[in-house]
Amino acid sequence: MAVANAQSKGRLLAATLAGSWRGSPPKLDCSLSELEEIAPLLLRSGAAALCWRRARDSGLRDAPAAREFHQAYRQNFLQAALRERTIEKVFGLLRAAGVEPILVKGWAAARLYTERGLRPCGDVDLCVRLDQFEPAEAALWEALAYGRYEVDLHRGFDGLGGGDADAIYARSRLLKLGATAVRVLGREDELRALSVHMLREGAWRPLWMCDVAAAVEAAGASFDWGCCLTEDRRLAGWINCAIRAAHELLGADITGTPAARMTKPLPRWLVPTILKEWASRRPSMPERHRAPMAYLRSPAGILKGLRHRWPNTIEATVVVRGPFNDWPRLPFQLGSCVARTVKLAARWPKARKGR
Amino acid sequence: MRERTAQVLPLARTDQLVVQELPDEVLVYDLERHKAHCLNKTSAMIWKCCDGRTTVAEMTRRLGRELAAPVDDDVVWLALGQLRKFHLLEEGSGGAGLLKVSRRDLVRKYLPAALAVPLILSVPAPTPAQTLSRCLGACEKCSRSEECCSGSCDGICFPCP
Repeated sequence: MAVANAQSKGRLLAATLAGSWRGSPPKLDCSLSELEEIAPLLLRSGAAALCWRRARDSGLRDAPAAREFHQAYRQNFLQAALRERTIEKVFGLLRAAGVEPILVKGWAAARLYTERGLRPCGDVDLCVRLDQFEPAEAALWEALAYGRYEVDLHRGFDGLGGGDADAIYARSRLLKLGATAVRVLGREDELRALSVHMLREGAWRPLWMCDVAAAVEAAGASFDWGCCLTEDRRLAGWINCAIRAAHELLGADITGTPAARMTKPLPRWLVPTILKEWASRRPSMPERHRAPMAYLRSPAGILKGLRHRWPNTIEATVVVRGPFNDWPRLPFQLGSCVARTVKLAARWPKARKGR
Repeated sequence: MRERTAQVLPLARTDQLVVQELPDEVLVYDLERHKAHCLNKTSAMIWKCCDGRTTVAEMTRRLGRELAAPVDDDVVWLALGQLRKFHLLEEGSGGAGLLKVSRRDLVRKYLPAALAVPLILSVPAPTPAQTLSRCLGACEKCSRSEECCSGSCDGICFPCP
């Protein structure tokens, strides 16, 4: 019963976000009680402003939930302005240190939407070449900017689908932001990064699927699908599944994409897992990020901690670089736990030394 | 009282503010106080008139022209009172001499004319990290996860390179 409820709540949330990234989004078609039911989920996941965009032209415009969504829109709008100041400063700092970063996710993803304020900007996520990570980190520490500016520095592009750094830099684009030019990924790399990031995080935020949908619809005729999907068949399978899920759940237009030509259905565990995550009031992933290992201090918290650390089927498959097919996911989930434990054990002595 | 306040020349604060204009409202983030506000169209128009040279009478005239509706100076006084309350006017720019006006009375008075009575809403401020305030960096000692920029605390902020 609870599972069925989660699925229908997830479907409802998907329906309220369908097409919300477009220039002319469809009018919101749900009842007041339905809107109120999913409002906390939308607010928590950062997708409330997208729903406001659809609600403002509907009869639900003045509903209390819609007013909260409007506040989220205003907050995002201001947040974007503040983030831009930060991005300018951080790019200036890093370039002065001889480091050329690429801005990913956050502000870069928010550009895919037709209106400022629809998507929260989040952290300043920067990827730098492997050999530039240490100088970049040193430069940020020196300026006391690492803590102050909430910069998330990534060593290369492995967490976003990988690829040859030189080629990624060659395809990257420079966008004007105030007095500076900000480097962002090329369109093909951007769609790959958004898809892989969403899957790696277990797809718990519907906003990330909206990012994928917006990026696919913005692809255009000159989009190089071969470059986006890469020659890695497994990676291509993941990206295609992310795109097809965006089509199935949010109504993304995928006409002309390789994903649209696929005849095999999506793995049967994929959509239910996504819907369950979207309908959850306390998804595991943010809980896990909030306090890693803190549960070890309290025996009562161990069970809770283990529950949060049990990966969902999507995350587990990506962590162990498994295929998206209909095989059982339990081995992948166990494998993912082992992989994470090994990684944690390797990091533990360093962490203790740091204390 | 009206004669004394007629000489008030309010000046809008510009320092340490991030201002974003939307079609129907103006959003303001106060970098000093870490507060965010939303000015409706009428408040925003009056705030724009606060250049330190324009009198309340002149502001009332301009507002009437912009809104194409008869407006009296109570509307401007109400807006100025709110702007002062939210620290959007320069201190000492005549703020102390502002007349107090009841918003409820104005709503009653202007409701038939559908004039938007000045209103400044508070907006949830972006999180501290978004506003460049200090959070603890990697490896710094912490007691709660919320203190860390990464949101992860285990005695020290993670990830610790």
